[in-house]
Amino acid sequence: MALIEIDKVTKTYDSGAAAVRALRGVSLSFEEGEFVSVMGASGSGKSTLMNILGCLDRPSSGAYRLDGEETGNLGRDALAGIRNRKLGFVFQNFNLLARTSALENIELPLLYAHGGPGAGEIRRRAMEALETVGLADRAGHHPNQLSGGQQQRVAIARALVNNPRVLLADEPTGNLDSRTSLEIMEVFQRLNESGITLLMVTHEPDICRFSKRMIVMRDGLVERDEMVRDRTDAAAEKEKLLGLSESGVGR
Amino acid sequence: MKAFAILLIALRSLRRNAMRSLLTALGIIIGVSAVITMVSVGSGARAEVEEQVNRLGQNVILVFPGARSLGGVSIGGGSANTLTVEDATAIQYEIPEVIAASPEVRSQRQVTWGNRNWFTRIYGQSEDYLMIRQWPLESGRMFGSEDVHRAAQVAVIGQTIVEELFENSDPIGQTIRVRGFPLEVIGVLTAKGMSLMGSVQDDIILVPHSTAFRYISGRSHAMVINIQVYDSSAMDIAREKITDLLRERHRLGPDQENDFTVQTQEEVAEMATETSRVMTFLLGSIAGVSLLVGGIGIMNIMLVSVTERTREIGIRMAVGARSRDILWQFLIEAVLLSCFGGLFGLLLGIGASQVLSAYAGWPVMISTEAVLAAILFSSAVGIFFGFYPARKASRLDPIDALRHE
Repeated sequence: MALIEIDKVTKTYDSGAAAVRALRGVSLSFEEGEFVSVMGASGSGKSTLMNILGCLDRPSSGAYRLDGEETGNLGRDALAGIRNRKLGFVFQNFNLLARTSALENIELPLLYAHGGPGAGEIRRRAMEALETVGLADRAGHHPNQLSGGQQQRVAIARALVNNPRVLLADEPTGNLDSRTSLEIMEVFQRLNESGITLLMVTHEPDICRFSKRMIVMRDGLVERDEMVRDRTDAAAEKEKLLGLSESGVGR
Repeated sequence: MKAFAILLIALRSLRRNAMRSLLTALGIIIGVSAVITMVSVGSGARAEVEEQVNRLGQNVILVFPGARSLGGVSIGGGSANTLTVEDATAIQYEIPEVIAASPEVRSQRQVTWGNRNWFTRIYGQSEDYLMIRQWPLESGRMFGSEDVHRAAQVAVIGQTIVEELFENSDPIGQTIRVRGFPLEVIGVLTAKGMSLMGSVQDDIILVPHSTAFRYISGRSHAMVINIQVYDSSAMDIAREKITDLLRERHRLGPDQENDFTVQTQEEVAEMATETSRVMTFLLGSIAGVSLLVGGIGIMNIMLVSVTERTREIGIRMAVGARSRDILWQFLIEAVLLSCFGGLFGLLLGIGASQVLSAYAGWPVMISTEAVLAAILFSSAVGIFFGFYPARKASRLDPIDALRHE
């Protein structure tokens, strides 16, 4: 059975007189261990799809099964529980709590976990997650003391700390320069290799090449759904970029 | 979600906005400290009044001359010359319930000793006055009935006089002069302290009333007669008998009103405590208003903070906070703020009360009720004014909240 299954999902927004049909019957399924990027112009419905997959929003019609659990009829609090246990979010603008240390930001999902671990265990797991993204030495730093790439890595650590089934990323490199974007993609690829399922929305074809499967949305429908053929290795790409800039300095 | 986690989240959130938290709590701090201080001063005043009334002595009845009253309020007591020394003597010897009666005549005079002088009050009294007032001597003796009978030139002086005239040297046997008239000091009173009106009770010279009438005051009538009754159960009957006796002695017909007023110590006490009770209530309610304003301040800040922190709420919801987690967080933040404010205000209020009593010399009594009320009220303020903003926060839509700029 697939990890994520959506069947004929529609989403209609009532904005005054005209109803906006953001999704018009989308059926998709994702297996465990996939790395999927969702592409599409703005207004294509990719963000709405992401919100529904992320249990932040509910479909107007259709079915959504996550990890064997039917989510279509769940209430607000039950959805919050699913977000807490099974999903991790990474956003374009990082969405870290300001004036809060990296470590405390990462602890957040554990604090909201129902029947979650005790204070010592929370701290230990947050530290572990921070080490995973290579920022153990930045535990006490506040977001405004971190670079964009570091902030996004803290956000990834926060998304991972609850051992979610799926990591959802909404334009994770949208606010980052190309080199930092490579770093983030490197982290994503590494996580994916260790078995984590990744769903990523992006509008940059370059970023899309780091994933394994590509879905293109258009007018609320899936236009293309195919495997990425020329998949790029972020680590190697970064090496190349570093080599280039060094020879540039040498000239 | 565990209680400790919510508490931790709320505490971290307050710490993140330390300055705003402090300013928010300031309203409560000021409110609570004002309530504590005001009520302490009020209760202190009341305790002082009660204490003073008790110092009047036990089972005491006071007779004032010709007090006219307007709607029950005495307006011109002591203005008429209706009470005589003979009245006092008659009360003492003809009414069995009365142990002692001392006619009082007061004058304010300059007193000298050597090259020093002091302006003080001279009280003419009978030999029983100290017994009536339950005022012990520190040294020497009180004048006796013989001294009163022959208008002896003797005086018993208060502590203030000892300090001011004699600079704490032994005054017994010394001769002080009142406008040249010599008085031998035969006794020194124990210290009584300050009265509520700020007059120093120890600033006093007692002389036999005969001496005061004849040589010092220039008056012929008593200003008050201080009477002691043997038992509190006999107060009412003694009062009736005193009234009858004085009416008879003053030859008042059945259609004539009393030309004197008889008051028991309890009546004096009731009037005085009632006054200070009203004062305490007034002060307390003014301070209470400031507490209310403080509470509204908390609601104000919490409401603004919900708007300002919409994104934060969105983030919390995205990582799995349920509506009631958010509700609790904001509610606990508000309650923590007001409790912190209440506690700090309590300390500040107690401090201010101590300062007032130490430097301004006001009697201050910190009442447990006021402290409890202030703490309860400030946490109630937190819950009451925190609930609306907290509910507003908990009902935000996670997607809208996340998109909020």
